[in-house]
Amino acid sequence: MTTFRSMGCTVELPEGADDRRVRALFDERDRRFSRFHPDSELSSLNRMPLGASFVSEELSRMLAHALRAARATGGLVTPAVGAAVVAAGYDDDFDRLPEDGPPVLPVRVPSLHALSLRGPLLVRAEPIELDLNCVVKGATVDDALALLGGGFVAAGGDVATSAPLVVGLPGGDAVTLHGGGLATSSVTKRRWRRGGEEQHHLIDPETGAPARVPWLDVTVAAGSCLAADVAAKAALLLGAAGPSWLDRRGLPGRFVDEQGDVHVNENWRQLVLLPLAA
Amino acid sequence: MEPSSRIAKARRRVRAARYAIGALAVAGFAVFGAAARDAHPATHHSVQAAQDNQAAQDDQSSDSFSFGTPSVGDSGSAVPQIQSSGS
Repeated sequence: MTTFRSMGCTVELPEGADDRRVRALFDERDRRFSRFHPDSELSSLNRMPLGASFVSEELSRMLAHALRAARATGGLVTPAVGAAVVAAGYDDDFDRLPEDGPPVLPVRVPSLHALSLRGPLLVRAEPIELDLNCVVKGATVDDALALLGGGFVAAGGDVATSAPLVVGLPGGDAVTLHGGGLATSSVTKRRWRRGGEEQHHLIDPETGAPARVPWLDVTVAAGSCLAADVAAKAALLLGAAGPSWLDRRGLPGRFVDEQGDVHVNENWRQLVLLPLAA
Repeated sequence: MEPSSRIAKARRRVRAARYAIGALAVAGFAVFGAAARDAHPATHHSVQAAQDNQAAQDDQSSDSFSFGTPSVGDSGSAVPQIQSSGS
């Protein structure tokens, strides 16, 4: 297997794959969309979080993904959480975060009503710091697979494949992903402390603070890695309502709770478990 | 008289250039203003999400974002080729 590091995670490609263009794609996206690079386009945009701004075609495209994802999840997976993520203490590359700090003071997450995109023109009617973490990695995995022309691409738990691929899951199970994408959203990986309390990077837009949910890991399969990642984040944030939310969208979901017990929704049962029992 | 004529012509060209620059600036400002007005949330409703109402989590009108069709199944007893350990 060919691997390299980018976007704070390990990117995996099939053995022998020409990784140069894929690596360049990941690195370029990381430079452009990172909140932690002061000279990234996103950081520049966040330094002036109000009013009209012209953005690059790449940023416009990623923002369009993020806004569509926000609409599709009723505002749960939203790019408007930038200030809330920083207030929760995630204000630097994860590896450089201090172990603890002052208590978190939740920040109101702005409504998407205040955010509008028309081609390269972004208008924010109130101060909105953007965080594109909700879509950048998933979209980049999909785009990287297209660049490779086939095979698979995996980055930090997010997978896209064009051929059957056996994927290990949190807790020890495995599934075969025949195509499309699979992603696991987790509150166990990037954790830090503020005010002595554990924090993580998934913000509940209702509270403006890291979500308090019954799930540690949520895995979803969908038509693309981007779709799977967005759905996994939404299902995790929805807590107990997550499994049925996925069912209504025809998506299989697997949930690991705080005791380590595994729960699946009806679609997962139909697609993965019942064929096994037959 | 020829030198003064050249000066007069130059002045006319400068005046014309100033008018052109002014007109371009006004037109540019108007275009930017119109674009900003069009994109402003108060006049543009397509991005207005249902964030204010969590009940909209069940809104099926999210036709612009496709979750696609999942293609996943049992792995048998095959050894995982990669791990989806979460992010």
